[in-house]
Amino acid sequence: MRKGLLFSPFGGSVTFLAKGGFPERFLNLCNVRGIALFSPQMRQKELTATVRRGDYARLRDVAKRSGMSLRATEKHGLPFFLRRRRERLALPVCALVLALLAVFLSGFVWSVDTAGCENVSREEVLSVMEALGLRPGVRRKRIDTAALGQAAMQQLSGRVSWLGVNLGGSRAEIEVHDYIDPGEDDTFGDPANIIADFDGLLLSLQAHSGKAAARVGSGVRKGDLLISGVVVDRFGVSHFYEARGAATALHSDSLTCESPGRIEYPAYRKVQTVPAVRVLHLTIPLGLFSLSRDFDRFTSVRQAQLGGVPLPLWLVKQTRCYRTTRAGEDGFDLLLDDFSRAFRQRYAATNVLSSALQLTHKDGLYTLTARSRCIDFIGTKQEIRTE
Amino acid sequence: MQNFRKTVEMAAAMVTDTELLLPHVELHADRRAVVDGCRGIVAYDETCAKLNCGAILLVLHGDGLCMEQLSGTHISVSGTLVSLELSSL
Repeated sequence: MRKGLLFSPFGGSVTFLAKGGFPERFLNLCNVRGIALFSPQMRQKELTATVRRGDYARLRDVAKRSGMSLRATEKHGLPFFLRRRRERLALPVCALVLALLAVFLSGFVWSVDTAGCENVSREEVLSVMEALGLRPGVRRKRIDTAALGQAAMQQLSGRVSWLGVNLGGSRAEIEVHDYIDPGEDDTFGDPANIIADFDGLLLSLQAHSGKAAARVGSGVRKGDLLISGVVVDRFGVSHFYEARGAATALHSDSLTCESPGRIEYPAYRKVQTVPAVRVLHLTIPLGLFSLSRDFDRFTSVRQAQLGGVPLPLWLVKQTRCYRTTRAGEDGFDLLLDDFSRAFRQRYAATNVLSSALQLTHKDGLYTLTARSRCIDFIGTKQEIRTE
Repeated sequence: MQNFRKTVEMAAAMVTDTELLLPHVELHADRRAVVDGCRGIVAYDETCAKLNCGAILLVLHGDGLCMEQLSGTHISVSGTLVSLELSSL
């Protein structure tokens, strides 16, 4: 039988060494008097055993009667621990408080993490779960993992195939299995033509399904038929298909950006940062802010970790930027930034051959226009309506 | 009739008590022997444990013998048991 099961750490136990005399008589007397001995071992006429703290005093009489000398070799348990530290009671009291705190905090979720997110961003999954009630600081008992998973799957339907919440201690892990697209359907859909979606000069045309209806090198206008979904066979019977293919065309395009001549933005006269500590939902600031009310607030939060294990403690850095009179700046730089960003976005998949830029400044407004000659894919589907 | 029933019940109770007074020995391979009904220890060291079990003297021979538990009439001896000897006291 294991000693640990019999000896409560709160009661304490004493391991002793008995020498000389009659060990067998000693064992029998202990047995008769109801003194429980654990792991009595005899080695070279020396008996070693363990008794409860309260029984050790009763052993003296037994040892005297059996002619043995008794000596305590080890003392274990809370009473001996406290006695050794009776002059430093703060240590055991702190240990007790910490133990109670750990027990209390273990009833809460300390951290929420995700695994397997690809189609859906981690932040989006966390925000959905937070809206459903799963966030750091929530009591574990209130979390219904099955219901949470179902509700989250409904909100993210079409993008995740399965979502589950696993609670491991004080850590919640959201396991996400992304929705896998079965691939483009090779079967033909509804009958459709491909028509031009802008004016231009047709440079290439490949009909994968249907019949080419325009000639390469000719000009096309918006709405002109490029690939027809109606094919007439040699018997004069019309067959309807979903037209498929690729066409490119040379065309002119313009892009215009405007910006006011002067941009006003807020300026800050003072920036003050005050750290704070957040325990579950309670935020404790470690400093004071100014009394001024005209400020912008920025907050950064970082969870404390110990050896890679997240703790229920967040380090918060609150920054207040106190506003002052507004300052101004010429809007031309902003116009250039906006224009270059818009140009890159618009012509990301286009071969731009040449561009002509024109800048005007009228009524306090900057206008930048780019006229470009570019080669682009042309064509959009138009459904064929049959009666 | 009632006297006869009472006599039979008393006889049955006596038989049960007698059986209970006999030692009960349980062996776990050659690793442990659990003895119920032990009245005392006659000799005990690392290689031999002699147990007084009423009408029977139970002798356990082995190596590294250790009494794991000793409470009332219950004794558990562990170690490498080699032989078990029963003799009348």
